[in-house]
Amino acid sequence: MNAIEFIDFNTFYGSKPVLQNINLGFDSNSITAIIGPSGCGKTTLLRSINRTAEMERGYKSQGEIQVFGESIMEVKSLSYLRRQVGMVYQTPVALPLSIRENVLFGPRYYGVKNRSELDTITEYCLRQVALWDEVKDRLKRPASQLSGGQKQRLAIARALAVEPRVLLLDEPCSSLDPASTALIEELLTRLAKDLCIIIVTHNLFQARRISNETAFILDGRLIEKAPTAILFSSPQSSETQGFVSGLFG
Amino acid sequence: MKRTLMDRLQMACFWVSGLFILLVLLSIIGYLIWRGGPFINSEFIMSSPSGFPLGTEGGIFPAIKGTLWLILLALIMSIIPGLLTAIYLSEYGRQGQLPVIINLLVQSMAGVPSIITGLFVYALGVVTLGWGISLLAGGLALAIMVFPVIVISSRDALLAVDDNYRLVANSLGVSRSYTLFRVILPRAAAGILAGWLLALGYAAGATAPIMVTAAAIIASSSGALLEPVMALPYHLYILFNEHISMNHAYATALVLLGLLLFINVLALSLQSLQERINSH
Amino acid sequence: MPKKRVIAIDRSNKEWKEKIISSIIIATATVSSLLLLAMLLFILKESWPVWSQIGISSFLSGASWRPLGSPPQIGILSMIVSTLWVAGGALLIATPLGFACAIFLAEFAPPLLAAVLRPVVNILTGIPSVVYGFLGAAVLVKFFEVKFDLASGESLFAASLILAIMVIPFIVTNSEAALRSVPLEYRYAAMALGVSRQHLAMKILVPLARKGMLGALALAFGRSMGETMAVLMLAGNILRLPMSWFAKGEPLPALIALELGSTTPGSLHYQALFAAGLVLVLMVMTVNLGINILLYRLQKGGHTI
Ligand SMILES: Nc1ncnc2c1ncn2[C@@H]1O[C@H](COP(=O)(O)OP(=O)(O)OP(=O)(O)O)[C@@H](O)[C@H]1O
Ligand SMILES: [Mg+2]
Repeated sequence: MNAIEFIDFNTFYGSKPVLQNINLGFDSNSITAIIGPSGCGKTTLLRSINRTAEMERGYKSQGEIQVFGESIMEVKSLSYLRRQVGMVYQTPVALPLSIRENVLFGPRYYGVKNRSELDTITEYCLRQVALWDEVKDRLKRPASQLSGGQKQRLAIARALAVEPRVLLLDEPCSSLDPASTALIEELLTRLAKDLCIIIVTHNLFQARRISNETAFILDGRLIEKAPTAILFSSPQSSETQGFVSGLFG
Repeated sequence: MKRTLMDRLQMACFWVSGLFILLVLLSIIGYLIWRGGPFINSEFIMSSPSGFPLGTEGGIFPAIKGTLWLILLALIMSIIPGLLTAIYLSEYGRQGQLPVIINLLVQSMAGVPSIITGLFVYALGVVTLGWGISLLAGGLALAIMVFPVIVISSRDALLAVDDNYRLVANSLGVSRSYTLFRVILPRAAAGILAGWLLALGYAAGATAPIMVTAAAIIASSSGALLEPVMALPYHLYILFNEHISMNHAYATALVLLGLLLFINVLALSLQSLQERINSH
Repeated sequence: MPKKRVIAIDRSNKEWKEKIISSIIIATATVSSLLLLAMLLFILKESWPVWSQIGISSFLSGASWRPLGSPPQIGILSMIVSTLWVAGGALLIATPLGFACAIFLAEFAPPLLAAVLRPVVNILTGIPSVVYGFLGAAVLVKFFEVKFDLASGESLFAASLILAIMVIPFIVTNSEAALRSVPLEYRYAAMALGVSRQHLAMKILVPLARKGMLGALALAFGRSMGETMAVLMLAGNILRLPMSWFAKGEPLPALIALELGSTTPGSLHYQALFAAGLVLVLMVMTVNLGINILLYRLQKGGHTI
């Protein structure tokens, strides 16, 4: 069973179609990269999975998305769905709380009260994103004081703290320097051992470096999905060819 | 670039009008201090009106107390519905027709003349429910009057909170109210508080609605809900209108102005604090 | 690395709590904003006999107000005219000053002066009308009496003058906001063409911001019509049809404030005051709504420039 399965999925903003007829599956324990030109619908695709796209005015969808075999429209609650599907956005967002409380934002809601458990979660998640050593002495300080790269890793830690089975990342490195990017890439590779990771990226090198599979989207349609090496070296469609050749040309 | 005479004249008009505003405030404050200042002392603040006609001597203590009771009551009655309505508009009602309608109603309510609010409460509270001219009726009239002020200021403070916080929190599957209490409300607190202060000041200065629902020429203003109260703005009106004492009228006006300046300056500084928080 | 813990607690059983919270919020918001309609309906109900027995047209066009006479006469034409005259006059005085000050603040004031003026404008808004009315009556009216040798210096004009000072801050704040909300691109484009700042302000920014500036005027007009204390203390309170700006009159709010306390509930006088209140609030709402519709039309016509 795929972790995530799109079945004849369409979305609209108002009457304007954005995603059209998407049929696409994502494996557990692997990283899938989604590439495509700006405005083709990558963000919409990710935000459809955790149903945050519904926060946007005029958003409508048709068809089905299944998360571990359950349709996202029929899960017992949004909360249940979003606990399974964590998401990290393009702009690093630190909630206006301390570093520690950022990590614990989800767990506290889900009822963890015991102090030592909270400590354990904080340390575990911050270590996972390689932030622990940098912040362990200032856990009570406002998270807004962190750098962009640190905030982005904190955002990942915050998402991991509710123990998702899927992690969606929307251009997580677009505002980061190469060093922070390298840290996050390494981290994602490590996390892929237990998680289904889907990453939208404009950086084709990044897609090649970290992903097992790559999907190419153009104007809201899925053009091609294949193991990354194959998609980049011998794409099936000429559109994909054209897009990835920018990499070499 | 060459400047024509017209251009210069126009520019002069801009400056004059800008400075005019400044002059208005300075002269109001200056004049009231000049005329009323000498009569303000501890006796004036701390004692009841006396002499004949009443108010020529003594002070304004019951009027101060009455005004404080009135605005306290108005705030108690309006902040909860006001804040909840604002929360609805900013957090819950982002889709559909209902928030549009509620916004329109609140906006229209803000335009309703305060004497009309007084008229309504007179009919409902004073006459129909039999409260008579009373603190309770005045508090209700003021509460209705400041309700839209509270809704609009709290709504705007809440809407100014970065939407990314909502997105990120929602993505963790937590409830709206959890996000609201842990992130949104603390983040907008200064702006919301500023709105309450503005409402307080607005209520403290309002005369027309309490004139028909709550105010008396003389009362002890003990805080009993069904008794009439004295109030600073009404007392000022009476002192002047009944030709009781110009000196005391100036002094009362100065006290009222001082109270309102204090409240408004506090509100303004909270507002700018909120702006700094938002841009942070 | 410490061992991973599993958060086993499931919150789905607490979803009902969230449902309750959101229902409370929706219910409160709906009920409290419906208060406006309740107010209007209640006032309509209290004034019903006036509409059904005397009729709309004779109530609005009747020039004499003798609710206690026999037979009683209740016509509010002179109060309506006074209201419009006072408010229109206030707008006439306040508009040029208010706009000039808004443009000054938005474009030309040195930053330091602007930083002083903005709070000043805000504080002026916070000064209660009874203080304005009192100062107007004690200073301005006295001045007229001495200067023009009048027995009493109250007039619609005096009321307009003080109302103007009261609404200028509103006009300034709202029109400055409108001027500031003109997109920066227009500014840059004009500057790139080498247009002077004054030309930029008057010929480009003001036309672009006129929607908001008109809205500011409507707001000010509505405020002036509904303002009670200042007109009560300044307009002279004579129930006669005013024939000039310098005549005395009694606008609707003053009528209500002065007479409500002395009426017997349920009497014709009482009902007539509620009818007058209904007329006043409808006048104010018409102005506010009317300007909104007008602005909406302007917007839809696409004449943004
Ligand atoms: N809230 C919205 N309302 C209306 N249209 C929207 C909205 N959000 C996105 N769109 C439209 O949907 C299309 C897809 O947007 P989306 O953000 O998914 O693109 P993207 O592939 O993520 O682009 P980018 O690479 O620039 O981030 C775009 O044409 C965009 O204009
Ligand atoms: Mg995107």
